Amino acid sequence: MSETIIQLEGINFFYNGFQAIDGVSLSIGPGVYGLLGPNGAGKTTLMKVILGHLRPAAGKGRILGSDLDAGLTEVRRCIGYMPESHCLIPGMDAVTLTSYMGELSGMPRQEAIKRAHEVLYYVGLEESRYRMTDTYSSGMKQRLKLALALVHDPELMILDEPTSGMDPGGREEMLQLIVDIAAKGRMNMIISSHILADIEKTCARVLIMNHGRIVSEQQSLDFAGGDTSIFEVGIKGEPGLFLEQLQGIHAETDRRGLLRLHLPPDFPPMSLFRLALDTGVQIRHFRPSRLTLEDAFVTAIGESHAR
Amino acid sequence: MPVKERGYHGWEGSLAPRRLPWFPITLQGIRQVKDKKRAKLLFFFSAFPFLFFLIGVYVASKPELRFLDEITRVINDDSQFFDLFFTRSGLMFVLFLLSVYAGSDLISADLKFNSIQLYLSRPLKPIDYLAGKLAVVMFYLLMFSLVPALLLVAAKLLFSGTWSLGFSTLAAIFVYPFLASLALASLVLLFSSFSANTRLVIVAYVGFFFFTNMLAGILSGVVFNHSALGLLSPERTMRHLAALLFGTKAAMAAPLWVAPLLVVGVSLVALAWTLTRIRRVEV
Amino acid sequence: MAPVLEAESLSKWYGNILGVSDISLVLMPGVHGLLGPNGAGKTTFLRLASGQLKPNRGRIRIFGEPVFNNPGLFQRVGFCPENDAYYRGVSGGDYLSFLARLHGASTQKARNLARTALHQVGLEEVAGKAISAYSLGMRQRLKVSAAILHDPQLLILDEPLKGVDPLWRVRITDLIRDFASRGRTVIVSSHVLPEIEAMTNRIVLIHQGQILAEGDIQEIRGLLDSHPHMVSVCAPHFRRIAERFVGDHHVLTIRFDNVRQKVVFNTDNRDHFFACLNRFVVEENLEIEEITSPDDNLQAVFNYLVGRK
Repeated sequence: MSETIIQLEGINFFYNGFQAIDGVSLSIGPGVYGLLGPNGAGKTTLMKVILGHLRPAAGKGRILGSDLDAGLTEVRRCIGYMPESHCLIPGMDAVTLTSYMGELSGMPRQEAIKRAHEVLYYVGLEESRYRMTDTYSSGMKQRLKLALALVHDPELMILDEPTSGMDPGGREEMLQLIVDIAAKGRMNMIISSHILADIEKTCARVLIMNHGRIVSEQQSLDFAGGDTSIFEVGIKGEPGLFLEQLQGIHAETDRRGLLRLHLPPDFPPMSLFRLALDTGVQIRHFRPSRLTLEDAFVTAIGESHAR
Repeated sequence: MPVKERGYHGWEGSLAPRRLPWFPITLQGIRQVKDKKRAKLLFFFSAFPFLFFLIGVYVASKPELRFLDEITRVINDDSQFFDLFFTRSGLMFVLFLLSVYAGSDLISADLKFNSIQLYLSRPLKPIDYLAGKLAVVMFYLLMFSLVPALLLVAAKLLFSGTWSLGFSTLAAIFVYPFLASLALASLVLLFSSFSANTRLVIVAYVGFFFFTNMLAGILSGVVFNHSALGLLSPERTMRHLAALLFGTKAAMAAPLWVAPLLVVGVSLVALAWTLTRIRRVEV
Repeated sequence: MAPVLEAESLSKWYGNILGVSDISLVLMPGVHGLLGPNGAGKTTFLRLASGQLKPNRGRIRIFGEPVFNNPGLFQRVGFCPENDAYYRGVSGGDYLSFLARLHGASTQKARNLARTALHQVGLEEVAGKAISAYSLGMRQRLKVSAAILHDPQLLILDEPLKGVDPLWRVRITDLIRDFASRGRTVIVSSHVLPEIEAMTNRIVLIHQGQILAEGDIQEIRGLLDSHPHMVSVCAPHFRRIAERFVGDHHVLTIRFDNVRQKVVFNTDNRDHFFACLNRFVVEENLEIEEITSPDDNLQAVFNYLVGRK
């Protein structure tokens, strides 16, 4: 298997004169990538180019080792696509629909039926697998779409807003499934979502798009390496005395009620614990401040606007 | 014994390209049409023309029942017999009904439920999708035109014991139902691709046949008094085609070669148009 | 301070389908996050609160006034429904001006109000475009601006951030917090728990038509005695820290993560545990990288109460 999953160079795409993709070049290796961006940034268009549904006006590329110019019909055999909109085929139960999709991807019929039962069980639809899919709730349709994208055990999955319309319980289960598929199945994925918390839970790397361009590539979501002098501290008890002792240290309270302390270089972080003990408070939360994905996103979009 | 742990498991097989990538669409479509409401009833009535002609063949083969000389003469003339079977036996109406029944929702329901993108996210091109759907309608139409015709051939052989069929008639028995099915199937799919509302599709499709028939009747009979204008009517064009293929007497004063040209032309235009409609669907 | 919203044994059925059943609730000013699984009755409750439905039983009052059939009240209430309902050909600006006129503003004032409201959600540039040309996120923002147009005292938002991109999620979250910081009230429903956490720490959790919990997330978490608290400590000498707690009967389980040099405790007495931990760190002069509480969030509270796993 090739080491690069997706390789794009100078891709342009126009919708009736509007430039939806503006010279995108990127190289995606194995792993799980998040694709972020404001509405109209070109995320969905880019996914459609990767799926071969849209032909770019200019540019070269290879998807799973196949050339973009040669057409990507065959490549879609190895791609599992979970579209954002609800789609189903009326008058079919889940097993029929899932095995049918497996057959269309090239599985033998018997194998496809067997596999359909497996993936439906896996996504948590085992009890409703003989029910007509048109009677499904929106959360169940979401699971069904994941099953359809999984049935042929693809090499690359493209998930567009995988948790939309799901309630908190369902959403968490969906994210766990995605994490599990990525880990156990060594699946390569591209996940687009507006919910940064979802991306943080599932993706190792993030691409941020704006105005049809890739404006930022985060190679790691572990932002710990940022600023090591800022600490998040959660205090239980009366913080007055504790804060008094911290005079000269810049402290601010964030949304969650945590203190953000900007410690000077000569201030050993561990001495905070002694300070807490002396002033009668407990430190219940302590960690070096990290950039969140939200920070990274806002910065990347802000910079791309300034340019 | 190896342990199968919880969690995601891949599939151990390999995904092989199919020679006919659209074939699963056809099989699935055939199954779905068969499972529709009142399918059995429709199929039963669709077999009526065949049963009627089968009885005719039987009657003609029994000398003691030869009280209707006129009919027997027609039945024993193969080309006239099959021309009658295809164009005057109500079979055309049966095929028309079948095309509505099997074809009207094939694309329109997919438009309504957003399923075309399910197909196109698989290794299929729009033309594969269309081919798969076309084959569904073709299957049912041929099932009730070509298949009974071949059975009649067999029955004739069985009852009379002699092979009387000429090559050109035998070829026509294959070509005519094929062209008729192709035309009906491509037209119904075109109408089906016009709207996500299947009822509207049916109304438009039935209306199209009704209107063209009426127009042909008025123009050829009343306004211009020129029978060639009957070509506007699909029904009369099909009879014209049958006249050419079976060498029987044509009802219209138009050259015979116009009929196949028209039938194939309309089918191709309808298919090409349907294809652009499918391509235009936002995937 | 007078309560903003009072519900007394409020019930609503649709035939034999349960909407909400016997809800009693008093909400004070501030942001209240309304959450629950699909079909829990959130939308029914919001419709009752915005006077679109008449309760079968019980009462609901806003600012002390009955809600149903009381149009005067809606000068002070802004509502953002979950689904779109727009006149397709109308432009965003005209739509808002029209709504402002309905609220009794003069033509000129209505235009100004519309402009201000559109500015707040960043739609002023597309004010002249037909709504049918808006993206989902833009329509969603337009709904929010329609709800805040007349500067109401109470804002009721049903899934306002659905389909909104991350940038505007942050801004609308800020807008909501800012709105409530001026002594006003927001009731907002969402399926995305981190979003609720970013807006408020006061929640109302509805399940099967009933209120399972109401109040401060931390307090609710504290009340869940049957679920021990999870504390994760990341440190180079994480096994030494664990050793210290092996004999402690308030620590129920200890789990190690060798890769991340982490130990995770389950304790039924947080006060005791943290007191010991803090003292131990200071006495032994240990290096600590992180102390976090992985289940001290809304998702955990939700899972415990709604009972999945």
